[in-house]
Amino acid sequence: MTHLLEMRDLTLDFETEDGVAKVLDRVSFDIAEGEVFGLVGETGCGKTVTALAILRLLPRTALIRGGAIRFAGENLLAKSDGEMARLRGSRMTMVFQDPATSLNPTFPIGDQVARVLTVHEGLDRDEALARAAELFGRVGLPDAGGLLRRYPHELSGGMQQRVMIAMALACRPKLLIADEPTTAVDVTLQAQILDLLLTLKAEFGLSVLLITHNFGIVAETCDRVGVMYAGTMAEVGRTSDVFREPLHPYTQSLMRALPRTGARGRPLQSIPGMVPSLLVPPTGCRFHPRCEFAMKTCAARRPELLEHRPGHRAACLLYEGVRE
Amino acid sequence: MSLIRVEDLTKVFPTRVGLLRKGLIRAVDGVSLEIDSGETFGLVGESGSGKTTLGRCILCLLTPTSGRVWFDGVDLTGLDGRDLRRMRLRMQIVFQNPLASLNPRMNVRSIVSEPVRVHWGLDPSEADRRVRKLLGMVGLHEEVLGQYPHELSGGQCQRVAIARALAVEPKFLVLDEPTSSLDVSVQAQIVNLLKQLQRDLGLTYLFITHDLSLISYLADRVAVMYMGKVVEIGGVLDVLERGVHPYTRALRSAVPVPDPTVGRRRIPIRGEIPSAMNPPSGCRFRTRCPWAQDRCAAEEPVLRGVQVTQVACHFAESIAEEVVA
Amino acid sequence: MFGTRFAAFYRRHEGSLREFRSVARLIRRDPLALAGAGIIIAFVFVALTASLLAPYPNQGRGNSNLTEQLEPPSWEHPFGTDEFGRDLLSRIMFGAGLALQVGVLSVVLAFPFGVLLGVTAGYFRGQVGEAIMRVTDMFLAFPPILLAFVIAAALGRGTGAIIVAIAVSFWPWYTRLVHAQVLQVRSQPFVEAAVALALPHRRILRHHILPNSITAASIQASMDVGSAILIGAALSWLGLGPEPPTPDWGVMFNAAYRSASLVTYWWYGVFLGIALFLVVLGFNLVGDAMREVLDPKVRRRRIW
Repeated sequence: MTHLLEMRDLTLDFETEDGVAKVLDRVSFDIAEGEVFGLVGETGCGKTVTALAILRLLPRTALIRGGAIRFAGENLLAKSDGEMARLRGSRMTMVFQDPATSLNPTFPIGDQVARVLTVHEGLDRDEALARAAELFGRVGLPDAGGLLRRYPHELSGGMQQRVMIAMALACRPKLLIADEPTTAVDVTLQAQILDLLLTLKAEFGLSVLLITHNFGIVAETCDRVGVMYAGTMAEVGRTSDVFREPLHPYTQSLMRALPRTGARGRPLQSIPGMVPSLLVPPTGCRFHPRCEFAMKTCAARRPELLEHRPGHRAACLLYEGVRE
Repeated sequence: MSLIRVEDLTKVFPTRVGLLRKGLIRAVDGVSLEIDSGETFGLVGESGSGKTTLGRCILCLLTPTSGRVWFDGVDLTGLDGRDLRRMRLRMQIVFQNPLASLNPRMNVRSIVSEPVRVHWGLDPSEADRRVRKLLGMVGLHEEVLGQYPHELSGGQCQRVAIARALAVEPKFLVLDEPTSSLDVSVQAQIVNLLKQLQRDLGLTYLFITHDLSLISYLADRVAVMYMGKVVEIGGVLDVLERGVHPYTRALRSAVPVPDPTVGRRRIPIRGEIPSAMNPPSGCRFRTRCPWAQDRCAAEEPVLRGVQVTQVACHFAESIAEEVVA
Repeated sequence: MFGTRFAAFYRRHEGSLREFRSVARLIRRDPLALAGAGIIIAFVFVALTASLLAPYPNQGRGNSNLTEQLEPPSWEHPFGTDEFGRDLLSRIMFGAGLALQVGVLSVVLAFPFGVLLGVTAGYFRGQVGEAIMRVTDMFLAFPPILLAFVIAAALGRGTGAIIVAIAVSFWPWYTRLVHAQVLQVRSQPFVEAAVALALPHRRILRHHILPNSITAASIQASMDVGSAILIGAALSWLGLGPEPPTPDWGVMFNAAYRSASLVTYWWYGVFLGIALFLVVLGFNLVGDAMREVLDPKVRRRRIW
């Protein structure tokens, strides 16, 4: 079965002042049609870079060393800039973390949304504005017609984020990438926005790549999840499976580090050490220096992302029968 | 024995609306509470709730517009000058943004030794010894002494900030979202450290956050704030699991739980937080409350004991029954 | 014994020394910054060694040589001679020192004054702050050259008068830059922390507020040296500078303008102009390099 998005062994380096950072190392995962896929991990694990790689929005210092990204069967890495420009904003779109800096402060929001439509679908301005008003209504913004003339700074953070979502949905994309869409927003608003995403997923048959560091959001909104660590994909599977039986030691540690009522009175599990520098990443498995189950082989051999349970992959030598 | 007593604290900020008109924001409005010695008191709320402002007023980093704060029996709001400075050493604060809470031009040694040198005039070698001891208490290795904040990770910066706060030997610590900007695993380390320090040093904490799961793990009692007012207050499990106020309930149902098997029962909460300059009359939460009725617009509710918590809601009893049923 | 004192000095100023090193690193990498630094170093070197290096040091200082008046550039006189037959290359070399003096001293005078006022206005605010800023605004309303002219005219001739005049017209810029930064810095958590730690005001100002508020003003100051040299030359040209035969560039420009036709005797004005242009350019380029390093907003953001 072909998925909507297939990433295979994406390997990416960044040229920095201090050397070459090996930012992504053989990252692989799939997103099916109409599914919400969560990409979760801590700072520096590469989740945002992965999203930008899909949209080919990486800076010039990024060098793709290998791998493929297939969207609806077509290899995105082989496409020209012009072809990517046509895809971006229409078939694949993105919503960013901070809506205040994602909207142009000098244009009314109606114009900004309409522009997406005039550029990608060739509508004239009036038609585009009418569609924009319709989209505003769909994302739960009140007084859609009146809002068209407003400027971003006149709206609250939650409304701005909804405008971003409206803009992202304007051309009925197949894939919506949301990079920490609710981090800058209050909890009650966060709930509204996540509910909105799920409703839209049902209505439009949308696939969503949801990037977050919050496991609660993953548990509530994602069908499947990928856990990243230091540029590698540690574990991928259905949300219920990954939570019920986390395979990778990193995932296990993260789950146990979450504060919960049930853990009262006991120290939280913390992971010793720090996230490694990507300039000189650990050999073999990148997590081995901090892993309580690390064996000698872990420093020498890089584990493959293999399906150790049905529909549930993990990259860890423990499951490959290695004993030392 | 309450260490901190806040009585009817109000903090009003003047603000400008447009070019000419002036408005007032009642960031904290008539808040009263007590914090016992040795406890961890949680303060939860969203943006605009006033929790950060309240924390700063208790520390006298902001001067309250009205109301009083007692620390260990001493009325802080009456003090000024040298007396206030002396009281300051008994209560400290740890901020949300670890990097921004450290002077970018001072290295770790200077940052942690400064309060010690200024207040106790220790000679360099003694000061050095104290600094090393403080770093050890927060789990930092000596090699960070010569480093500058931008060379440290978020977790390390926060540890330095904690060491600095502890340098003056306070009894009370306000923790203002100390782990919000940190990764989960780092948060766990800092939280463990804070708990251990509390045990070892007999500290009292005011823990301000919007993260309910963190509060449920850490706090003994908690107050829920909305638009400058305390809407519910009580033991942490009582408030979070059996809380009665509609906002407490909405908050709880909105927070995503990291457990896919738990079904979501969203309590619908409409709209967004109203403008702080023009809060709704009567109960401030009524514009978003599914239980709101006429009385809510006319009369502001006061905190009163309902079941196991103190709640500020006219219909607390009926709401309590409704959900139990 | 000397070693420990040096160590203590190093530790206290380590932060600034590190930044010095990053500026140095950047200058090494960026060709423009390198050029700028090179120009400045060359001029300083020339200014310091003019007596030794100049081909006709006496003429440089002012002795006439009436046999070779207004000669075009040649092997003996690479830049030609002036109306008194003096070698222009030597004159320009001696003038470099004067120009640098004017530029550096006027900024060195204006900077601390302006910064102090800016910090005071920004930290204490209220009526004092308002008063300071209004006075600053008043000074800023005057075009710098005009203001300097009025002051220099009032003070009489001479290099000293020019230096003071330029300093008086420059200080408000530093005050305003520092004031803006102080307002931003004082709301940072680390300043709040210092207040919570009951540190005395003086300490907070000196160690927390001041070092973090002078970056914009410092960058401006480094570029201002070039502007000061230019304004100094203009004031001398107008007759407010030192008296001839001092080899002050402005005075030389004036002489060129008045006693010779600038087209026929082109070498008189052109080489002076190039010298002035180069020295101002040098300071501008270095100022840009400093901005690259010190201004955090200009630094590239990393996408992660």
